[in-house]
Amino acid sequence: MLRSNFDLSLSLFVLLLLAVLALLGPVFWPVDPLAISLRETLQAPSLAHPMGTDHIGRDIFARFNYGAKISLTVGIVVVVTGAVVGGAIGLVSGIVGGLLDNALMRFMDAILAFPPLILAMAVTVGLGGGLETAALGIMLTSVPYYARLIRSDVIRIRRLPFVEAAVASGAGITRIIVRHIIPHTVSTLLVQAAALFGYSVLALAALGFVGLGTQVPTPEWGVMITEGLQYALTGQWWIGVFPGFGLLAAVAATSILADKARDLLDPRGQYTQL
Amino acid sequence: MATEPEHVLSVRDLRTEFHTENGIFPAVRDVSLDVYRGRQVGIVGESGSGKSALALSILGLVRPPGRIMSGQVLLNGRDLCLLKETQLNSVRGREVSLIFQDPMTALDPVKTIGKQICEGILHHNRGTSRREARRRAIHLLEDVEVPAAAQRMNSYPHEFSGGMRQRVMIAIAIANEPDLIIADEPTTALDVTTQAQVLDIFESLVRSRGTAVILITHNLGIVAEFCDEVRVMYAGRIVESADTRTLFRNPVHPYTESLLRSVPRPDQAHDGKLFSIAGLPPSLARLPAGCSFEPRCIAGRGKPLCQESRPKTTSVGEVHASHLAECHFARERHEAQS
Amino acid sequence: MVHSILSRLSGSLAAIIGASAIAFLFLRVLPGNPARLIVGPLASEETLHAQMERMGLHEPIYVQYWRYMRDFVTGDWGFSYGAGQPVLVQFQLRFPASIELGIYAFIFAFLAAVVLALLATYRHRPVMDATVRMLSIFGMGMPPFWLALILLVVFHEALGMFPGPGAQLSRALTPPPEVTRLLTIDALIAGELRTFANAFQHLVLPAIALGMLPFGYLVRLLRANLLDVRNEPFILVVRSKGIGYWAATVRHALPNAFLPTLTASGMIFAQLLGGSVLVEKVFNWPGIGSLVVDSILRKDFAVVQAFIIVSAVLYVFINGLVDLLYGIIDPRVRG
Repeated sequence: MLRSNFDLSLSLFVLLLLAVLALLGPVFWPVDPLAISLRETLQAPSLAHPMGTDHIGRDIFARFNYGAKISLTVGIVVVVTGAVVGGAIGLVSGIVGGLLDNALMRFMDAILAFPPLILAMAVTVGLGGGLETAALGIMLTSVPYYARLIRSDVIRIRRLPFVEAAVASGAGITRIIVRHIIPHTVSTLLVQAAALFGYSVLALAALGFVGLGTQVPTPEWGVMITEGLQYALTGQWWIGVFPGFGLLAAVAATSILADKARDLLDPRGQYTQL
Repeated sequence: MATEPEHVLSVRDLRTEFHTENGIFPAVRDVSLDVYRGRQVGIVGESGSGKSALALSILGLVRPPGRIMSGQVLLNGRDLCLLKETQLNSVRGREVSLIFQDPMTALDPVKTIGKQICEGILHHNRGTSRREARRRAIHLLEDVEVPAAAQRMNSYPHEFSGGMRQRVMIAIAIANEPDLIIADEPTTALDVTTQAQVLDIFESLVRSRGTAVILITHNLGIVAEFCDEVRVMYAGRIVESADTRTLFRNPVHPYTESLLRSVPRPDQAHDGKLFSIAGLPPSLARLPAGCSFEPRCIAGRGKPLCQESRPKTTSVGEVHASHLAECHFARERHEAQS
Repeated sequence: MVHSILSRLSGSLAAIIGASAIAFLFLRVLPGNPARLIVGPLASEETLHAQMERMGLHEPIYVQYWRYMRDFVTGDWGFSYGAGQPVLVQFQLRFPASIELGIYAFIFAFLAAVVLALLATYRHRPVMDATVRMLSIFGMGMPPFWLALILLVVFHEALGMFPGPGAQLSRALTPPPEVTRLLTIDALIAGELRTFANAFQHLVLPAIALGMLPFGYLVRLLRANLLDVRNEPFILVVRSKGIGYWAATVRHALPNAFLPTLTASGMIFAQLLGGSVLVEKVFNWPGIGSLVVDSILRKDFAVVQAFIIVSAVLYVFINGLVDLLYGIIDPRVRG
């Protein structure tokens, strides 16, 4: 009991800290993340530069904060849109059933058969690159996970006695969907969304890492790790290491939160995980 | 401390507690229990009364967060609580073995029946060949009246019915001719006819081999049929102990009396309502200061004596009969009955 | 039985056809003309049209798809204009390195998961258990390319224990004669232990970087399953026969705990064999993953298309193997 509360408060604290850095970073650390300073290249972490500087003298702490903003924003946007689209597909599939259900689910299966990162990359390149297309690509790969889960949830709920009772008593289909089915799928959707947040953030960093998505001067965590890679082997470890800690913290904290929510809502553990 | 040779098992002041995040639960509270060679002892009580914890404590298989806190478990004169795990592993299965309540989950689903019977035989008989173990296993299956024993050796548990699985369990338990078998609700999960069959097989096997049995159950009918003696457990204590006839005829402890009265008796007329014990067993984490049965007691509820002090074990009846009850009013109640 | 096999096969075929069709469609509707890629940006409209004619790009899309799949099955996987090589040749060159890395990554992930899950569930030790749970969360939360970087910084740069990126084998050693095209196996076949040791050393860091995420996932699954199985009465019964804790765990608890992880393990294995885009890039590993990324960036979609089909086939194939394995291990499925 004690330990799980500790987990919970620690992860909430970490997420809050990242959010504060992302939102208020420019206020209490007013350094331009893009400002080049050729007199201060490749400096180790110090009081003047808590996370050091990179090969053209940019302050890594300021870039880290900016990266937090990008990662958290994209993570939230991807998760919300993915949950809405995937949830809608699952809802329609589960309620309508029949041919449409079959077609939609085969389509989802086909997307799942793709290596997710490759699919996201192909979509990003195909749509012209950039942060928005990267987000779209990642969102697309996450849709089947929501859709399949919500569909099975809807089918399960439809068979519950109280829904059958509502149908028998002549309640309209809209009313049943709005009053009975949607409220019962919300928790599933939330847990799945929390679990997929980490995936979204990591996928964005991965796209940035291979040079897709975020374009170069923008300090996104994945891009920063790429930049740090070539200096890692010559001793300037801090360039690539700090942004990785940011990613790790964000993903680990949300996955703990997702676990807690799952335990709370579904002690038997039937949710799938990526 | 040496025990008389006729004792197979002598449990002395055994205390087992579960230390969880929600508090300490003393599941077995300073229990003493003697089992004589070849005798069948029933332990009855509601679920949660500590019967199963007592059984596992005797075998030394209480799992963390449970722990044996104090006391002795003397099996054939040796205190199992002082043995190392490896020594215990040579005692378990050979001197004492276990029959578990739910035959559906008590066998490994991915191993054949034959393998599971042979495992115990091979473990305790170094140098036995696999073929010899297999031969003995087939014999055991025949003993428990599994038809076509040799063929069924290669079957998996899911291919057996509940009654057949329980027979396999019995075969596993008697494989090394132990002195004591602890049977934890051995027939609860079976339907009534199968129950009777399995129990008959079990009884004839242990009687012919002179094996002592501790039969844990909440079914008083089974106790009446099968056991020589009975112990009644309530909230981690043995509250009454007597031979079966005495206990059923003259229950002294109010709890025993209530238990007996809550069994439907077709031979006795009643007004259509079944007696039931009021209230629920107390939480082991917050036991009352006095008698733990006081809040539900037909005799002592509300009495200051019962609320304030814990009753001592009192011997009633003739001295040699060893009829014991843990009640402030044991003597009075016994005299009132006779 | 026959019916279930048939329905499985048709399902697998549907998955492969579906994935390849979607990929085909998708890559065709993308802006950018594949013919333009070949003739170059300066070529005239006529040259472009002639090239399109040659590639069959004027025909309806389903005809193109049909032709592509027919060619694919007969071994003509198209031509990679970015690399100037047939796609199949590129795959043959690059796949072995990915498969070898994938196998070692899987072995690492699986062994580490088993050992740590056993430790986490041994007796009642909250600290050990919490540590393993944290490791699992970190394993799943770490960007693999970042872990690769850290591993390089610590074990190559600082400690010098393992070789750095850029090679599968030290330059001083000659590669063993090709049999399986997996370096470590070929070295063993040739009996060259030094070559084997060297190739293995080159594999350690990338395999750990690649295996960390699957490890995190598997250890969590195994731990939960072990806890569940340990609460099954049959473990108690086994112990009551006199079988010790570890023997009971290894003989009875582990096999039962493995069963529900088989499907996940299969999927992970399939994914690992398909190479890693990210780890291969950090270690400069000459595998399929880095080839595919480079091809995506070059818009060389013949490679991507082939890769997607191969991944789908791999995925379906391994899943089929898992089903087969279930039949062997779990008597309840066999029946």
